[in-house]
Amino acid sequence: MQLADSLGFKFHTINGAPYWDESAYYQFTLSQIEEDIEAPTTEIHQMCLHLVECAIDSEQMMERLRIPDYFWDTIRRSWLRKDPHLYGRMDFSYDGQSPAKLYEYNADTPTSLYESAFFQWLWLEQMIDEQKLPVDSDQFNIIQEMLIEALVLLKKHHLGDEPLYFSCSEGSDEDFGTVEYFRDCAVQAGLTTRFIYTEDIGIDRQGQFTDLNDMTIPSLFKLYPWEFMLSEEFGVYLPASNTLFIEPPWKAILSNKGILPLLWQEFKGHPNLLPSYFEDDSPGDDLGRCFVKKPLLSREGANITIMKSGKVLDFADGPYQDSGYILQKYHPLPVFGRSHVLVGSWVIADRAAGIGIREDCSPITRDSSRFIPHIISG
Amino acid sequence: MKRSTTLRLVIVSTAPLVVSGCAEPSGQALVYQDVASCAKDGVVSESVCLHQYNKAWTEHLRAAPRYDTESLCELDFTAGCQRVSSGEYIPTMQGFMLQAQGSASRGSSFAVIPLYLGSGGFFRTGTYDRVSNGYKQGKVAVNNKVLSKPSKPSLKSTTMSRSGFGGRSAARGSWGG
Repeated sequence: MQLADSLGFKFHTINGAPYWDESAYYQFTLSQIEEDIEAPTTEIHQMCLHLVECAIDSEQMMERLRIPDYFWDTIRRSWLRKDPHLYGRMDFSYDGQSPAKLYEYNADTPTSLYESAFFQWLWLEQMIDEQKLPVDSDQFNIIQEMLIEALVLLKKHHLGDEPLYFSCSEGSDEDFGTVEYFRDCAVQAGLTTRFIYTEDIGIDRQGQFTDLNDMTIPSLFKLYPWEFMLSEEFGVYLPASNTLFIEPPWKAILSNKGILPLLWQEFKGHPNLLPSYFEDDSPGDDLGRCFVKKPLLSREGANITIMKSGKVLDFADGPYQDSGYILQKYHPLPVFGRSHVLVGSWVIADRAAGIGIREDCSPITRDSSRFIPHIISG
Repeated sequence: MKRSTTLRLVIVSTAPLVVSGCAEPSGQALVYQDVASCAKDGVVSESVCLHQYNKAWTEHLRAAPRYDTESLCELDFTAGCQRVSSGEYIPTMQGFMLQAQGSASRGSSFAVIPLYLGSGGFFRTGTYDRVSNGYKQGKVAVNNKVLSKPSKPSLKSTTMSRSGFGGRSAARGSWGG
């Protein structure tokens, strides 16, 4: 905790509950990591890219994902010119034995990056230094290293000496911490960086986005979901904007839970996928009687309902009631001790780069979940 | 190994936020090893040298890169490292760099950053950017990226309105996912 404080991270407790718990860790074998997490992550990411490729030419898919039509062409162009992307996090239910099952892909604004990429790594180094863990203990974690490499390439191919602006909304220490961590990696990659709150972004006469000094914004890392931006006042300026956005517009396809039924439709029976359907479709028998209802656009477990034979088993309240829903076969998280455990598998650029584990007392993990480090041993 | 061998942070918790948009740098700066060499060069007065050196020293103590071990520190900075009260190691400050701010006509205001000696004997900033070729003092042309301001600022414009994004943040709290 003191370490997190000294590094400027104030979000180790949320609502008084510990967010970082250094008393415990999860232990994996190398083959569990490589075969059960790393390989599926790489494969599913490629499957997702295949779906983006399909979606950009399919009005029907864009409609299913509830993406406003004024943005379709922006997404299409962003994909065709290969706008760079940096990161995403796949959440898996994994019990160490059976195949990991994909819950969702947070491909636009994933959280817990700093804890996974840096703090967890530092934790292991210290545990080894203090001889609390054997020197040959390892961890699946090249997240920060890959991130800096991706940022070096971003500078080389896209930005040059132009500044990269980092932005998040006012009022969340956690979001600010995440953005500052990202900015740190960008500085290490040699980028010129700026910060601006999402609320402070301006628009000029030519319809270009500006900073507080009336300078146009050449590139913007936004810790703010695409679907919010699209529904807000300045959304209409996005199609004609010259700003290079990170994550790019095409990520709006992947960060949408509609990608889950689309994946199931295209790759039905894949061992790492759960049967999923759009709510307004007729579901297949493989959905079963116990399933989870999730909004197309939601974050941090909000508005998720677990249904069994038509009855509500569990419900997480939240503000996301205005998008469509998907249904996903219920595959409960494994419980270790009294904790429900979710494995977050990081994709940096196009590579599986490490994992971070969160646990919660409830079957639906929320943004208040505890972060638990992991090691590889044996 | 499935994990990185070394990682570090360079700005988190130490650097103030740069909130954009400043004067375009000249690409030139003054680099000195100490107050004496600064004063001897005669570009700025001795009292300015002393004042700027002290500012660099303060900045050094506040923002020097920190390492867990001495050997890690010396991998990056060859000229010796020191242990600080937190138990971490920081490189020894080996110089400071001055850059005129604003109109640059009078040079009355400077941005100053502490310098270190990195591998190869080059002056480097705390973020390990190379200042110039070699161990040159006095007026040097510096790689623009080592300066705290952008070399090619984005274009000056006129903002018509703001707050067109972010409206849903208050309603929804933190997201991520």
